Amino acid sequence: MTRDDDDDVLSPGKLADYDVPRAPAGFADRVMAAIGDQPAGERAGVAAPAPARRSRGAIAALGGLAAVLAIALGASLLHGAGGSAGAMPAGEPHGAHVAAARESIALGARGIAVAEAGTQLRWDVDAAGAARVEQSTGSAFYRVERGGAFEVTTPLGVVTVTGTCFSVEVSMKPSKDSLRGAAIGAALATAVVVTVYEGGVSFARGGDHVRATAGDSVVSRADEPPQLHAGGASGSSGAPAIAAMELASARARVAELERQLSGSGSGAPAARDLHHRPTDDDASAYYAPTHDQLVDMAKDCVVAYDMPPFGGDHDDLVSADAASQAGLSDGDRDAIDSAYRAVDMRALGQLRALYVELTGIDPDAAAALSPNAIVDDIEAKSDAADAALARKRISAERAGLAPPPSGSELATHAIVERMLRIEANLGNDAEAAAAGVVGADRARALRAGAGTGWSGSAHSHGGC
Amino acid sequence: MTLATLGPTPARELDDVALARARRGDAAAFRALVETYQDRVFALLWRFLGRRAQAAVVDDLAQATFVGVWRALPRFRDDGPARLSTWVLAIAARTALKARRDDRVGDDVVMEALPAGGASPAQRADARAFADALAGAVDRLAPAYRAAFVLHAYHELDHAEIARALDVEVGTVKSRLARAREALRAELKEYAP
Repeated sequence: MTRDDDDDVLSPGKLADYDVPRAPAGFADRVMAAIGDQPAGERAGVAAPAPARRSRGAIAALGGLAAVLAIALGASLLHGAGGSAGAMPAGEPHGAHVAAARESIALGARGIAVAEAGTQLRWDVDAAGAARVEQSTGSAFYRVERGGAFEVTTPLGVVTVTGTCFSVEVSMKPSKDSLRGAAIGAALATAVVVTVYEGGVSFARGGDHVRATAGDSVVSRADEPPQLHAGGASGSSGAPAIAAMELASARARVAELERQLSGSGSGAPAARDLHHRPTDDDASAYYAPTHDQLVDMAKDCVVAYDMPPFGGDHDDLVSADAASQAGLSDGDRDAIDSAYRAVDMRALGQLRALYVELTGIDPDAAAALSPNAIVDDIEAKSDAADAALARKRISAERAGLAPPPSGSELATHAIVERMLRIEANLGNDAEAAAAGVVGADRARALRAGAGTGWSGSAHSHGGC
Repeated sequence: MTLATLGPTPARELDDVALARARRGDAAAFRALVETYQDRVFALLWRFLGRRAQAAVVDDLAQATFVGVWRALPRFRDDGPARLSTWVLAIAARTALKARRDDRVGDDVVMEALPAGGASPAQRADARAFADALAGAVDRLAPAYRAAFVLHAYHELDHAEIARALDVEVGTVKSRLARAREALRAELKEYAP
């Protein structure tokens, strides 16, 4: 910029002699009043900024002005990613957001942050996938897929990760300005706590670098270098139950976000997005497929199945109405339900064991997760190729085109395959449990009663 | 009345978080925006309209400026070429120019035929007198020249920023600044060493 330093009468010092009045007291109040008089449409007519993604749950939780914003955000949600199974929903590559309530925010294509109320985030993901996030305050749980640099800058250091789950909490001390409400972000950061649940992170502040792995925490205070606290986060080394519960809660929130986002996609459906109710013509294909149907499905690696109530805390396998229509006694109904609950709990245990095997977390932490959260997280962490191979194998076996694997062989297969087998077999296992009480024919009739199998819940996954 | 020099000194910008909140319609954040830039907007408007302007008129134009900012804020690109302060001042400048549209003087006229300050040479010997003379000289610049000069000299906008703010070519800005400085030097030659 050209300055007039050499021009005596027009030098900055001379020009400063021309003083003018400041804004009068109360001016901001008058502006805010004037804005309040503006019809909502005046501003709504202006092009909206690129919104951050939010979960539907977050949208529902917001009120007032934030709810108006959420409507705009919801529009972007409807353009969710339609990636392959297990792919993380893609978010906006650039954005800034202050969480009004607990919110899940997709950060580009590889990261998700579950931010608590008041958390301030700003992120920028370049074309190569390198992500830079600024968390100036608040608490957020991050899950980052591998694929490039991912940095979270806090007031007291920088967290660098590759692919991992971790949380960042920035503790603030209000300044005089923030107490007056005169300056947003004027509070002072007093400590940053990074807790690692999976993988590892590097924390840097000035010339100090700390490496933390699963189970560790890093504490960075304003008046001292960052400190490593080993073995405090994960249950893998005898962590406190509260840490396990935090992880469980965070995982469930992430899984819920992904489930919502993948369910709202408008693009090509992912394998998990193929859940649908069958038509009247092929309703039985989900619980009693013919050989021809199985062969046809195998051509496209389609695995279709019905799903009884699952996960322990659910309704009875046979509803009161269904029992009445089938002429079951209360005793038979209770016996069926008891037999099925044993099947259900065994399957749930198998699913949790798979999750522990996949993630290495403490079994207590896995036990705190809902079955849906586990299923969603396993899918998210699995390669799409493994999921496709699972569908190919299972569909071929069901059609009699390939032999089932032995127990030892199956143990070497991908966890996503073993999970799909649990899901796909549960309907048959429930029918077998019921058959042990009322016989095979009545058990099949009970299963078919809703038209599409147990609970009327039909699922199919396809694509080779 | 509190006076502000607001010369070419480093100016604070609204923090990014507050900007993001303001863009999304957060009233508290927008109030922070107003409080961050209101003195600069008033300074621009006072120097543009001149000391003879009525305070109520300046206040009205400042309010109109911020209402315009409120409406247009979602369009502001923080990754674009303009700082937020530059963008706000550009809206203020356009608001002021629009208000002066009826009595705008052609671009080929640098100085308007306004009465010069009545101070005697003796009185002009002190700083206050120089300030009055400078204010009078700036007042007499034609609006297009005055706007460019004020934005450049008092708000540190560079040529490109002024060009965007006033919707003119960079060359035009350079020309106006050169002619404005030339006119001001002529007006203030008594104070030259």
